[in-house]
Amino acid sequence: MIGYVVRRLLSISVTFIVVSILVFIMMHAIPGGPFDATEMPVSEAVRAKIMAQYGLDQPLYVQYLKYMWGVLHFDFGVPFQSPGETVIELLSRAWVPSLVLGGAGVLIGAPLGIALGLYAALNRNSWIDYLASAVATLGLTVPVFVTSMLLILVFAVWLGWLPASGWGSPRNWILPIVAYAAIPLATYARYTRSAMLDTLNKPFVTVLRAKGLSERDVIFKHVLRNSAIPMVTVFLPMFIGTATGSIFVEAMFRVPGLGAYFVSSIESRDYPLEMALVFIITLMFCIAYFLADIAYAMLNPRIRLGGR
Amino acid sequence: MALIEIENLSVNFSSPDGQVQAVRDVSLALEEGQSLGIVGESGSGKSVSLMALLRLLPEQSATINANKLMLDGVNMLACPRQELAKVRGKVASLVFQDPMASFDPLFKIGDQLTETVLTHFDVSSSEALIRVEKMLDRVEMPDSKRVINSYPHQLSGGMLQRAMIAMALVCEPKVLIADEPTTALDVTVQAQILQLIGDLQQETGMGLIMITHDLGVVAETVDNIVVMYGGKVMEQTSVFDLFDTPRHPYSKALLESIPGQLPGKRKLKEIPGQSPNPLSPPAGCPFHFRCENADQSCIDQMPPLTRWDQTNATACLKVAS
Repeated sequence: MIGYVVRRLLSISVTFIVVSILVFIMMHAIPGGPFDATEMPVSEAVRAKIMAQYGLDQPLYVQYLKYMWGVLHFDFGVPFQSPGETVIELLSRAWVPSLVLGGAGVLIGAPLGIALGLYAALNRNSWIDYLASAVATLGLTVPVFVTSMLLILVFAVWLGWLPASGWGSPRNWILPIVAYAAIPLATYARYTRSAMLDTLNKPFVTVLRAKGLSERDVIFKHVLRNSAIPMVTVFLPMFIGTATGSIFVEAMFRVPGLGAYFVSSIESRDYPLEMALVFIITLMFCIAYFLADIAYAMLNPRIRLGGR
Repeated sequence: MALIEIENLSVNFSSPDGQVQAVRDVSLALEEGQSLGIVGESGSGKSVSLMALLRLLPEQSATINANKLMLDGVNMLACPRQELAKVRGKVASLVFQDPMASFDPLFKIGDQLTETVLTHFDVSSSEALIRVEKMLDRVEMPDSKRVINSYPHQLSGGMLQRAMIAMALVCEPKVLIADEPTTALDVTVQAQILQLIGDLQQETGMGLIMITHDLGVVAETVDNIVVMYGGKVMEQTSVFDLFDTPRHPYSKALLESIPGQLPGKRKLKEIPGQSPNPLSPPAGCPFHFRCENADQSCIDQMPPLTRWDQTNATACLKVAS
């Protein structure tokens, strides 16, 4: 088990480094730079001075190594679009609304989705099952900006119960959180239902019933645990959403979160901010998959014991 | 009183294409301590009949009809869920085809066996473990201490099937139903497992139902045989009579298709044609498509099961006349 954890940690570190190199190269491969003539009409001499100040005149690998050296000391640089603060200061300011939105959305949507999926699988072909399938299909196919529009139209425009946008008071939070929660709700309902049905169809479930186990023991002792294995690999990565929120929901409800910076940092070639955002996302994915791998091994003796 | 009494059992499955008539008007019985083989090809309804008896078919899709469905005096048709659980594993136990898929992969073998004991007996878990260890010795499990602490994926198919038999017998059931217990195993292991089942039946005096498509399997382990085809009983007979004087054309054809019957004849004899479509089974004899003796009367009417004596009965118009 310890060897397994170490192996997973090593492979995640490698992933992290590879992603950082790829993003660094791609970012600089995009035509244009942050201080091009179209952005900033200054003389060549001044431009050269600015470029030197930010180290942009050096070869790419030197820039990369310098940048990574800074990252190791939690120095992510200064965002070009907001030079008055450091990247870390900007992120800690913009991250809070995204955390609230994503966190509340997943914490509301995930348990509801799991419960709905469980109930649907255990009462197959009942009206709840059909409802769960309908909710899951709608939630996965209707884009979140459409549901956001509908929510604004109904609750803000027609009924006038809630504000259409902004982030000032908790009343502002309700509609975006509901819009966001629909995504984990639908995903979790769908995967829970299919994982449960998959397990229920396994021969060993018939054996458990044949040896006289009560249906309650069959489900809660055996089927749930077996279904959890495919579920963790899908579910844990979904929690990344808690940290990053949703670009679309934030845009629709004008939430001052991280979302807007994902787009603007690429548009304005804001290298430090862009790198920092990518690092956050990559780190989140790595942590989520690492936790999923650990949970997977803890649930599954075939992995834990290094068998087939 | 017979241990198992099935009278006029029919099982239908609803499918998108219509009702699949898996079992049609099947009757069979087993006395205590008797052994019975149910023989037939895939889809003949042999497994479904016994799964219906234990009510292990999916309630959503399977419809069970019978005049009588009795297991050890319990009416299984009208049995509530809790009562079903008391009968399963205690009165009648099942051993299935694929031992690799028959255990929960997340629990150790020992835990799964003691779980069975604890389900049916009010004993401490250490007492349950003692019973499990004894049972593993009785199925001649090699290295049983290690097996108890192993997960299913760590054991071979043969060992798992032994463990499965131990799990089926650990609550000392009155009848063991073995559904193709050797199909998924190596040939060398098959013989051991059959020997074991036969020995245990002799020792314990329990009833045995052996469901198989392999006549070789039943030849050595059971007294009586039911031959099924197209969801119906074709012939009831003793093992001796089946191999010596098979009456039903289907039984004859089955025997002739066993390899190595006639020396010198190289080509394996097969039964031409395919089994009838269970979605719209024929009104007449289900075997008439493939039967050499069939005529118009076989197409028109289902031959009744004609009883010759205590053990022998045949459903064939040509044999009856």
